[in-house]
Amino acid sequence: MSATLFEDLPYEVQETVGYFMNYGDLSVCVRVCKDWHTIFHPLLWRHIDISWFPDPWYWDDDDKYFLNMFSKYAHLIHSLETEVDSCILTYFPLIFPHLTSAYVYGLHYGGSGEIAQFVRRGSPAGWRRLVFETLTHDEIAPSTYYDYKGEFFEALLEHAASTLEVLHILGEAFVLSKDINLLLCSAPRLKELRFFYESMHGCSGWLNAQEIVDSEWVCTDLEVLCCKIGKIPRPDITRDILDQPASVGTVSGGFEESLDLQRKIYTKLGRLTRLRELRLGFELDTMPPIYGRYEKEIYRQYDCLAMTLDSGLDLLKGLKELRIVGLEDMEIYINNPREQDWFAEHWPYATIGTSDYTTDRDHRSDSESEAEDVDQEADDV
Amino acid sequence: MTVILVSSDNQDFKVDKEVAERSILIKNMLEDVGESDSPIPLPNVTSAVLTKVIEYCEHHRNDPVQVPEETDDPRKRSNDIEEWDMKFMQVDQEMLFEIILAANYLDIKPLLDVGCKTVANIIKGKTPEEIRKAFNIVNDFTPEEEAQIKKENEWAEDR
Repeated sequence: MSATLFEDLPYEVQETVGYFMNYGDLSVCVRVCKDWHTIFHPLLWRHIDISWFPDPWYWDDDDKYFLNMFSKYAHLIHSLETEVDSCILTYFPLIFPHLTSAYVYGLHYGGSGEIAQFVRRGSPAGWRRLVFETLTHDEIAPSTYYDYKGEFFEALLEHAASTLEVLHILGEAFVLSKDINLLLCSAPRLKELRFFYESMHGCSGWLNAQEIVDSEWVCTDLEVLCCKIGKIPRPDITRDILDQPASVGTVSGGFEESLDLQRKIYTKLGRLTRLRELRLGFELDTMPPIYGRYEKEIYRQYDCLAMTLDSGLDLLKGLKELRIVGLEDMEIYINNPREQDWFAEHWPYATIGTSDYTTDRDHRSDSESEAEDVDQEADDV
Repeated sequence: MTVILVSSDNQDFKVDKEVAERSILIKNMLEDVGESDSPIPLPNVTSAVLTKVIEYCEHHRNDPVQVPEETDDPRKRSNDIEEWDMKFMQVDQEMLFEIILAANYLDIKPLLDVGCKTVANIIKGKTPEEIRKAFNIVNDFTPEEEAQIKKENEWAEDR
């Protein structure tokens, strides 16, 4: 029997070797022989980061040569990392036939149409993973809300509804509740839906509780849901908000209406039994310094789930996989022993984020160490 | 509970079911057959290779099922190999490829990955000529073709 050689390995296995190599080594492998070129060349183009590519007025011969290669091998690209206004996208106005994954950043001041166009340039087979990121405050201006209304979600539903697994919209964004809800009702393979920004406030993606109760979510595999859920009447809030009675600024509605709506939302979330991460609240303490306490008081959530057993929290006990729960800066009352015991019993492995700008630092570290105690007990069990 | 695996050269290997089930192929076979103590023939694996594979599965019998982070980006891939595996893989090249073939056939993903990482590490940092020498490969490019390919991929060299 003759010795076993690299060429005796099945093609998929040879390819797997390529998955453990960096660009430099791959670029050497393609020069070894014709077979190796066939195996490794597609891997060299599988994921392409074009953010390093200079603007046209800086192009030298090498850059022009790369651009040629780029259009020659665009059909090999499965995954793209790019600035939204990258000149390559402008100079190469074609569809990428196998592009199913993209990280697009540097979004600013623009609108839905620009990225809707990008979405239409993906593989006709449909997107698997899309991550968009708005420029942050510090980089350009105080406010850089990016508008995801209208066209973008139309394009998304048209090109990705049946294939999309991951959608992250990071940074400040205008997103309509009805669009997010429609996605949850039409993307059965969705695993991660994330509207997240450290200093996220009022305008970023959120779901309107009234709108979602009557809809049929199909994304039963959802593992990550990071999105506010609002518009819930909370007559149980009795403290003053911004020196006015809470009833002035909150959603109007009686106790029964509030409990009925909350139970329906908990039931809906309770069916997402694969959830690993559930963030309904976001920390306002990280808001840029231009925002004072007053703004934080405005952006705090007063129309969210109360997360108490009385409001129906127990309906979430089926979420056994939860590891991260974000409840920051929501008007919730979970510091009672009943709720704390419930968390310890049903979500023993979950980290529950509850930091709250209204409590001072010292108080905060107390409640954090309490949370650690809860974790500790969970470990002991 | 134990199962008996039979190598291509007709040697019997008695192993714990838990160890054998590191192989998804065997796991599925056992599930299909149900309770049975008839030996499982593995016509594609010699006793020398099967000994190595069982050694690996014994050592990793309690490992949790790992879902490796999926990435298309070559810059984010790791080819770190843990110490025991590194030692385990210090075999001659023929045995290395035999283990990889067996891991592929038996469907033992972690072993397949360790094998492929080992090959990737052999390639790492070498010139095309050194790679040809290491793997006994004949260069079938004309000098012009090779130059052309080098030029096409220069952008990737320092990335």
